[in-house]
Amino acid sequence: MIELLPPALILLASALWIALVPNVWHRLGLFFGPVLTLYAIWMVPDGVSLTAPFLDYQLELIEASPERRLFATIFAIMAGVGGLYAFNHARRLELASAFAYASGAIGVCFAGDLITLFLFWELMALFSTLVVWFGGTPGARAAGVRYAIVHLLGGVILKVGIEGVVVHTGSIDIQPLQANNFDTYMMLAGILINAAAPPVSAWLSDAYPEASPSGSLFLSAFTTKTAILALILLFPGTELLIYVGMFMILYGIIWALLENNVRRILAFSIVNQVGFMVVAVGIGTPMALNGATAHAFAHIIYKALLFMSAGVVIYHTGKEKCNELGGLYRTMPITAACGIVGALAISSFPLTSGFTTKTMISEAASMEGLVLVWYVLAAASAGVFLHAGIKFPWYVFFQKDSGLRPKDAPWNMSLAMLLFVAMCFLIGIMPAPFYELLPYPTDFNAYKPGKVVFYLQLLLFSGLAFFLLLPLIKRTNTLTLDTDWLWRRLGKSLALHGLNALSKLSSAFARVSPLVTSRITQWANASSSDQEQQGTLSWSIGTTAAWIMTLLILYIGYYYW
Amino acid sequence: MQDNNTQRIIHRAWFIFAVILIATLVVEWFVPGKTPFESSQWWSFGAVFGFFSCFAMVVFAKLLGFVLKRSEDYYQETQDD
Amino acid sequence: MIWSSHYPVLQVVLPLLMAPFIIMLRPARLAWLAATATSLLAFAVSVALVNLVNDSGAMSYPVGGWAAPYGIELRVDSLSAMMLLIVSGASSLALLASYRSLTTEIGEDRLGLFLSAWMLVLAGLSGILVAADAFNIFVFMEIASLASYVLVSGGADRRALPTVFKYLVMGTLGATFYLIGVGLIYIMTGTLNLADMAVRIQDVQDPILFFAAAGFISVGLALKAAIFPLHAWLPNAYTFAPHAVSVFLAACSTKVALYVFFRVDFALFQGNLGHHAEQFSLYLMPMALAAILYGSAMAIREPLVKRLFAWSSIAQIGYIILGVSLLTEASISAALLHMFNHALAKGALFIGIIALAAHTHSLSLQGIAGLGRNHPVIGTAILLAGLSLVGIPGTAGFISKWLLIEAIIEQQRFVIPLLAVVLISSLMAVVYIAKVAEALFFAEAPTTPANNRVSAAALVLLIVVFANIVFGLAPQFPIGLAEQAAQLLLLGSAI
Repeated sequence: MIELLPPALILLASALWIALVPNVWHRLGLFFGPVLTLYAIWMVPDGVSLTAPFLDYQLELIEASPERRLFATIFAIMAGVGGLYAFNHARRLELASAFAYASGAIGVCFAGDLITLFLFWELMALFSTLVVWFGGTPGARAAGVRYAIVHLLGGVILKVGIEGVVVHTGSIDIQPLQANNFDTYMMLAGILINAAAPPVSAWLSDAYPEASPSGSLFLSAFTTKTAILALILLFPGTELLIYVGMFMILYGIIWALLENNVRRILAFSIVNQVGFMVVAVGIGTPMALNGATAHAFAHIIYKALLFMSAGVVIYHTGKEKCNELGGLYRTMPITAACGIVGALAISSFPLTSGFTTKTMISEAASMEGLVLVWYVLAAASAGVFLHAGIKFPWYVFFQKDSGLRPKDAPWNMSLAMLLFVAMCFLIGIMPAPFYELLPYPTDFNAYKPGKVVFYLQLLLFSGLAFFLLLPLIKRTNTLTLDTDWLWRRLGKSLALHGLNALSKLSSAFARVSPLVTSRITQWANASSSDQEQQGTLSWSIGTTAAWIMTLLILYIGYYYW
Repeated sequence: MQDNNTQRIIHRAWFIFAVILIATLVVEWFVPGKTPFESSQWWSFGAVFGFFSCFAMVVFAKLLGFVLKRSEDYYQETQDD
Repeated sequence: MIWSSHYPVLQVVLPLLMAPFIIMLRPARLAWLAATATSLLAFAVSVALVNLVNDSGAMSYPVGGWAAPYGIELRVDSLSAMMLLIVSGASSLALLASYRSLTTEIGEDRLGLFLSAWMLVLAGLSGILVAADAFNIFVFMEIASLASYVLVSGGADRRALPTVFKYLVMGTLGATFYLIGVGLIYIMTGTLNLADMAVRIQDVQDPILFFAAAGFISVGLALKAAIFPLHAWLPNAYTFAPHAVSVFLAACSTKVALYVFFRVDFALFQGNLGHHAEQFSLYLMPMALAAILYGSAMAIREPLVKRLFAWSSIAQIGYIILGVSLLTEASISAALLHMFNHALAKGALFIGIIALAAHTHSLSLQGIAGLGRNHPVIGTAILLAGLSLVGIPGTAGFISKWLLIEAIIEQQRFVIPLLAVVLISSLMAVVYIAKVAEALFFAEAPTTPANNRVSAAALVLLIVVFANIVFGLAPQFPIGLAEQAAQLLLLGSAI
């Protein structure tokens, strides 16, 4: 029976359970939800399993394939481990929202048609906004509003694109498309917004650090990776993506280097890593798509590890800026060790999951003869070590003695981190079983001696550069401008001035003939206390009369054209 | 303010680090074909490429920082929207 | 005597007869019960009418047995049946939700008078919807308008008085223009029955008189429908009226005016007036776009929640006009569906106001701060209704927006500018709904203690929001009605 249920609904039901069931019993949902969902994910057969009529179409609510299943699996695991990490610290409603958010992601994984995909896409946007809002601070509230606007805008753009494609091709099926007309461009734009491709990536570095530490953990996993899956399903081999991805990679590194806030560094790092995946989708060969999928899987794990480690630091010290932290390895050895493992993994250090997955993408680039891309990816790997592999653990756990002596992580957080550490090493040391699960068969050998040596040189000498250039990388209490300046400063002042001007113009119309109304208004106002007159003045009767005559003349005048 | 003990640990760490670095360069002598393209086949390519890309990125970031950095409270006064 | 054949006239007569009767009911509770019961009966009749019309097509009813065109004819087809559902449904839900709110705002001793005026509005609006005679429409329009002036000014808020004055003058202007237009057509054709007019008007020779008639009718009805720039009476009227009245008006008053506009225009002008189709589109489309953008922009700046919703209504009316102005079957049915869905969403939002008003004195964004946290059920319901307005999948609003976008893409004219407007306005809707949501859930809560009794308003709110979601996931019923209605309109305009 369970195989007939969309896995997403199981997780959604557990989200409801968590939100509504009183006392401690709600925690059952945190465990059973992901477990049952995982079971359902692996019970679903390939191909379309569940359809439903809607409007004029037949929706395919569940369609499975190895790719989709792999993404859904890691999403479910993430929900479970995240729940383990957060159940003592996070508010119940935040956890429920996070689970609902995860269920939206799983729904997208199994969506067989564009409308179902869009339904779950919007669900993700809604619930992830809630997760941001549960950060609780005024900053979180403001960031949540900006996040909601960007994502719902992205949703509308995607919707317009989908409707165009549906109208012009007559089909709602999910299949590879060419980005060559208005509709498909809109779809691509909508997906890339979720993938956090600059120039529309600022939402990620803006909102993720404002959520609670557990909130950031959940946020890091789902939105961008579902966008990658959407790209894999809809736009594989689109050459534009190679360039977009490369830009993302470099942008992520540079902005992370300038950043002081630990979680914002990790956020830019997400953009950087997702850039690798976008490049891979752009290359589009089986090896590349395998690489994108594998990398997404591994990335969720080690990024979560980094966020978890950072989260413990924030929970126990209340600080999250590089120049305020340091020397924490003394009292937080477990957290430090897990953080270091995550850092090594993200840098694709040999023996970690990063090495066995991300290098597939470089391999794909070399197989296609894409020289520039290969070089950029290599430089990027060095850069990753620089901004995340070393910078993060160095500033937080070593560097100087900040005087802080926070306690190490509690049992549940340690367990969660250790679970993911184990997975990092497992996939790193014995990747073959994992390769079996990838969509395309492969005999990729990650541990060719020449490659290992090359990467070791690359990474270790990057480390050397880091320590030699340390004075240049001093952290300061600053933020770095991003494209969101356009709407947070420029756009906002334009909008405010625009709306003010509109209001004044509208009020001007109101004064056209105040006569009788002003008398009555005065009399009525004398006996009421109101502060609402700060708004726009309501148009007077005379104004409307003037408009009536204008419209009447226009109406009749049209006929004489 | 680092005491002698810490100084010694740091010196030790640098020493070990240097040894490992040199080891990776040496090992490359004995290990066949690593990188796919002609331009990158020479000895110690990984090391040089890694070091100088990082150098370039750090410098570029620093330069960009002069243009783009603002105080933390830059957006604060426009807080309510 | 077969009751079902008399439903059209019953729809009007029931509330009309109850009106004087309710004045005589002294106890407020009794008056309210009588009014609600009548409204519910009217709703039942409208449901029955929908079924009848679905089964056997349009129903015609000659009043007093005198056949049209000499006698007065009532006619119910898919379009009027759908509108009747909206009107009687809105009235019933508003009354069900608002006993406490009404007694607070109006006072128990005047409630009987107030509710009898309510019955007159219901009778008037229903009458407009079933009348097949242009002059009858005017009569019922006046009944409804005059009674609604009483309703809007019924509360204790003194700011309602200048508002009602403005509303009265503008409403009368609109109705008078309509009457002038009808008179001109009467001169040209010698009949007042719509169907008969449609036939006779084809023989009209004098174009100037025809243009003038069309102009007067269109502009007059545009004013009653609050189409930008003739919208000025709406924001304050919705804001300062008693909350129950806001629910009722927001759900149906402008929509009934739109109904008359479309009915008359498609029956008489499309196909008969040279080049009317192009003129109609070119004339209405800019007004629609302006309404959408202006209404949404004003909503963003608005600190009073009721007026925020009112500006949003002006924008939503813009969507409806946009759909109709494109003149394809798909676009018209999307527009008509949006009439239904918007009534559901906006009605829910205003019922939410009734529910909130019990817990706060001020209905500004600051006044409602934190109420969503103290009363999560009400807050979530309002949020869901707001999401329906934005058009999130799973809600009714999504369906009509989806169909509208589809219709825009299919008809291929001005696609990119129109889509851009829809996109920008969706964004603006997100902004103002986010402001309300943020105030409700994340702003600092006031210190007034939470009163946790489940109010009638909250229950009704839940029902309406539930309906929003049901019609968002299984929209076959309203879509069917809207499509039939669109076909009828277009059919009526074919030469």
